[in-house]
Amino acid sequence: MTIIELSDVRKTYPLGKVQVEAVKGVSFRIEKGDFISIAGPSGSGKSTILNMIGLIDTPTAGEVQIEGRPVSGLKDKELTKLRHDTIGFIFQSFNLVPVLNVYENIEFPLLLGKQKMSKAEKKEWIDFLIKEVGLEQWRNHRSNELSGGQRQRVAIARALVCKPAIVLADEPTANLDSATGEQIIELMKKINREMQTTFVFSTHDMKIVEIADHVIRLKDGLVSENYRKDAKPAEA
Amino acid sequence: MKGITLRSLSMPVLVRIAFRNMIEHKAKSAIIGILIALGVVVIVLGNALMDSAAEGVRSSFIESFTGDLMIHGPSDKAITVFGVESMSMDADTETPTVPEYEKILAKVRSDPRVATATSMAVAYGLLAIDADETIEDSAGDGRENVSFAIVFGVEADSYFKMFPAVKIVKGRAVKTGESAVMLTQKQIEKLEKKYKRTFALGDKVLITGFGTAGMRIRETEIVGVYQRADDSGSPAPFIFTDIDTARVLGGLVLGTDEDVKLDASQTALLSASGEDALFGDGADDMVGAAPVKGAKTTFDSAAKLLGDTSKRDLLNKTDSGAWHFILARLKDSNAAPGAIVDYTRWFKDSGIDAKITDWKGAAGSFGKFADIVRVVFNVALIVISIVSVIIMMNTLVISVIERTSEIGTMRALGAQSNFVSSMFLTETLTLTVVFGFIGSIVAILATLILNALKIPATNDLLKLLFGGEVLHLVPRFSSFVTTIVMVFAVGWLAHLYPVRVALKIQPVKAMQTE
Repeated sequence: MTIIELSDVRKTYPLGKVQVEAVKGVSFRIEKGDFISIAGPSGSGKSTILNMIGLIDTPTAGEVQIEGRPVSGLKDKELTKLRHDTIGFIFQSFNLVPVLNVYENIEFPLLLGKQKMSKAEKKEWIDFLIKEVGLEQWRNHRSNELSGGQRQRVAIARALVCKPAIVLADEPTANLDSATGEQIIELMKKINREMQTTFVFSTHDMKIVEIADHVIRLKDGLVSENYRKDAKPAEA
Repeated sequence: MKGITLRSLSMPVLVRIAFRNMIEHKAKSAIIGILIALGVVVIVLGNALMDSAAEGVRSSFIESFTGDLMIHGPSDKAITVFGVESMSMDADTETPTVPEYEKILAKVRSDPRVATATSMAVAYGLLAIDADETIEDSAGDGRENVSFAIVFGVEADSYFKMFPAVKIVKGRAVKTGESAVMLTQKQIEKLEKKYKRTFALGDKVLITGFGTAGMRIRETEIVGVYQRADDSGSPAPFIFTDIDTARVLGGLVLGTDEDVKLDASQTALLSASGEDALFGDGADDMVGAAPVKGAKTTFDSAAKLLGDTSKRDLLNKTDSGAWHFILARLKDSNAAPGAIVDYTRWFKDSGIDAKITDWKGAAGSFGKFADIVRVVFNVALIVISIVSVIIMMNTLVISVIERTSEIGTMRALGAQSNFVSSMFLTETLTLTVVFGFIGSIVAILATLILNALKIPATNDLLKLLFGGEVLHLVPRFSSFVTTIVMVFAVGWLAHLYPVRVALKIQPVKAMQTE
C-alpha cells in the first residue's frame, strides 16, 4: 500500500535576486512499513523533499500525497492536524524542549491533539516507549543532562508517541558518532519491524544508507537511483 | 477523554513550561520581573499616598471649613465656602445669599441625618490700624506686608461646635451684635511686624472690606486667638468676625439695592457741569461762610452740618437675614450624596432657588488638590506602563527569536498557532503573577517600614500629601486588585507583538540546525 507519493515535485527558492531550483521534478512512491533512506550529498535536495513529505514546506509544482490524500490546498490548521496525526519527526539536532524532562518531552505531542488514550493508557504507552529506547534510568532527566545518542532516543520515542503512520528523520545521525549513529538506525529499524511504522530518513553516510530496505538517491535535485535491498526495483 | 479540548489538556504543560522557562531564562525573567514588581510597589504605595492625601484634604475641609454639605444661593459661577471662584471683581462674582434661609435652616436642623448645622457669610478684607492706610500703601513694602484676610462671619456657638478642629487658644469667640475679630497667632505676629508694636486682646484693628459694593471700613476688637488642628504653621488668611461685621464688609446691607429719590434741586445740582455750580461761586464764599476758627464743634452741630444721614445709616445697617451659606455635618459623611439628591429635589418641589454641594464643591479648587495629584500620578503611571510594555515586548521578542527552533519544533510536532499564543501568554502572565505577588509583598513590607519610620511632614505640601503630621500609609485591598489587573493588562499588551513574531515562525525552522 502506497503511503507517500510524490509526482513531479519541484521546489524553487529565491536566493537573493536569483531562483534556485532545489528539487527539479521528483517522483517516487513509498510503501507502508518501508524503512527508506533518501541519500545524497549536501545540496542534493534531501531535506527539501523530507520537508515537503513532512508537510512543513510546500512544493512549487507537482503533488504530494499522504495516505492517498493530496495535500496541496490544505490550510495551515489542516496541515498541522494531518502532521500531528500522521507524521512523527526526528531532527538532526534532536530539538527537545529544553525545560521538559525525558518523560515530558515524549508526552508533549500527545498534549497537542485530541486524546484517544486514558491517562493510565498514556502513561503505560510512554513508559513502554522509554523502555523501548532504553532510557528507563533517565526518564526524569532534562535534555541537557543527556548525551547526543540519548537525546536522539528521546526524539525517536517522541516521534512515535502519537502512533504515526510515518516517521521522518532528517539526518538523524549527523550529530552523533558513527557507533551511536548505527545504534540509532538499528533502533529505528527495530521499531519499524515491531510497529510497522514507515521510516523515511535522509543521510549522506553511506554506511547508514546500507541499513535501509529501500534507497532513493538524489543528485542535483533529481532522483538518480531508486532501489530496494530485495533487488525488486522500486516503482517510480 | 473524548471531547476534552486542546486548551484544557495543554494548560498544565503550558504552566509547567512557563515556570521552567522563567527559571531557565533568568536574565529575561529578572528584567521583566523587576519591572513588574517595581510597578506594583509604585502603584500600591502611590495609591496609598494618594488616598492619604485625599483623606487628609477631605477631613481637613470637612472638619475645618465646609462640613459635609453646603447650601448656597443661585449662581452661574462656582460657589465655594471662600466665595465665588473668579479672578475678577465684577457683579457676577458677588456671593449670593441663601434664599428662604429660615425655611431651609429649619429643614436642615430637623433632618435626622444632620448632626450639626451652622450659617456663615464670607467677605474679603485687609487688616490695618490706620483708616488712611490704603491697599496700595499696604502693598508698598511688598506682598509680605499685605494683611489680606478672608473674613468668615459666623454664628459662633453653632460654628465652633460644628468645627471642633478650630480651637480658641486665647480669649473667646466672637459674639453676634459686637464688632469683633478672631485672628491666628501668625496673623497677630504679622501685624506686629508690620506696625512694629504689640497686639493683644482688646486692641482694635480696622478691616477694609472690598467687593462689588465698594470699600467699607469696620473697626473691630481682637477678642480671641484661634488655631486649626491642621495648622501648618504658615500664615493662612482666614479670620473670624461676628456676622454683622462680615455682612457690612461683604456688602450685605439693606441700602445697597434701594432707589434714592432725588428732588428737583438735587437733580439740577447733579446735572450741573462745573465745580462752581456744585460748590458755590468761589472759594472765598465758602471760607467766609464757615467760621471755623474759635468755633466749638459739638456732635449736634456736626450732625446738623451733615444733614439727613438716614440713607447713609441704611447703607451701614446689615441685612440680618442674609447668610451666604448653611453648612451641615452629617452623622455619616457617606450619606452626603443621598442628602444632596434629596435636598435638590426638595428645593425644586418647594420652588426655592438654592443649591447644595458636598465638601469638595464647597472647597472649590483647594479641594481638588488630591484629585490633581492623583491625575498627575496616573499620567505618570500610564507613561511608566507604556515604557514597561515596550521594554517587556523587546525582551520577549528577543526570547522568541532565541527560541525559534523550539517554536518551529512544536509547530512541526503538531502545535496549532493558538497553542503557541497560549504558551507565550501563559509565560507572560506567569511572570506577572509571580512578580506581581513579590511586588505586593515588597509593597506591604515597604509600607510597614515607612510607617514605622514615622517620616514627618516638614512643609505644607508634604502635610497635604501625607494627610497629617507624619507619613502613614494604609494600602487598600482594592489597590492590590487594581494593580494586579493593571499588571495583567501590561503583560497581555506586552505579549501581543512577540506572539505575532512567534506565529510567523514556520515549522520548517525546526529542520534548521541550531
